[in-house]
Amino acid sequence: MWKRIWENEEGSVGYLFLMFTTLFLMTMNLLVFDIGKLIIVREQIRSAAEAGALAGSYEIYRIDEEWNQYGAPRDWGYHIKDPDGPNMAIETFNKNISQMGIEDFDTNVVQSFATIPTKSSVQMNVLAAGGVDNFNKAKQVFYHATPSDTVEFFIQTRSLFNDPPIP
Amino acid sequence: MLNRMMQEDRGIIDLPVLYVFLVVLFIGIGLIIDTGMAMISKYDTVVVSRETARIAAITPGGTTAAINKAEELFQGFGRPINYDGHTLFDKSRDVDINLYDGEYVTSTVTYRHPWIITDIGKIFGSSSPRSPYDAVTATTSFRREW
Repeated sequence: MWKRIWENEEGSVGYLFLMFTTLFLMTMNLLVFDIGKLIIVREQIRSAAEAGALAGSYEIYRIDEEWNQYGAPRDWGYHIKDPDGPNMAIETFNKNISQMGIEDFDTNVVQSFATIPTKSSVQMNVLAAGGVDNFNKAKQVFYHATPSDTVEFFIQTRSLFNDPPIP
Repeated sequence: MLNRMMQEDRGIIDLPVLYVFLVVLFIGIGLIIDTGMAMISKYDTVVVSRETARIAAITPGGTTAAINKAEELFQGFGRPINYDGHTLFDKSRDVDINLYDGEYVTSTVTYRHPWIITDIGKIFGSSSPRSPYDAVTATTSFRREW
């Protein structure tokens, strides 16, 4: 039978079909892997951003408590100028990113960072342009997309204490 | 028709190709499903790691609560705890909470993802037993707030 298969050209389209199916399934598998990796990286960055926002939020609250002990009025507007909260948030964020092993992640992408004067809260707006390379490659193949992509987070974490009294 | 198929050469290529095609198709679809399920396991592990670290970081002596939360979350996500005689997640073994990682509380959670297709190597002649699961881990640090 096998001799007849090799000598008979009529069934050669079957081999092409088999190869096409194999390549199609492998590509689908890689796409599942790439999209899954993108979602996981996004969740890891979210963990880092939440940890950063919480650390910054507590820091701002702590500073306010100290100021309040010395009779300073509770004016949350002070903290817009106070860099300790945002710095603590960025430090925590970077620690998580480095230990998560997210490759090609540019830590300079912590783009905007602001405190809200009325509550102990920190907003982290993170743009990750380098952590999704595999997905970008897949997109280039299928959609001819540009190799840049963004994962954006806007996480606002309030202090877990009760909202402080607003003067 | 069957008689004619047996006597003629036309289309004889189609039968073995069909057999190989079916094998490739089932293995391929199995791999796609398996890959997706493994990704979900990793995703859930990342979430559990984050929540346990958060609890341990803001609650003094919250280690026990964090470890219990890990098991509760895995069960809530529908992840199997036991599979084919193997313990995939044991809260006393697979949740490592370091309360004094510098200024941080670091939680490392491990989950053993059960593969659906474990005997694929045997089809291609592999004799070594394939582990029915692979461990996925996730680590998250929150600053210690107590």
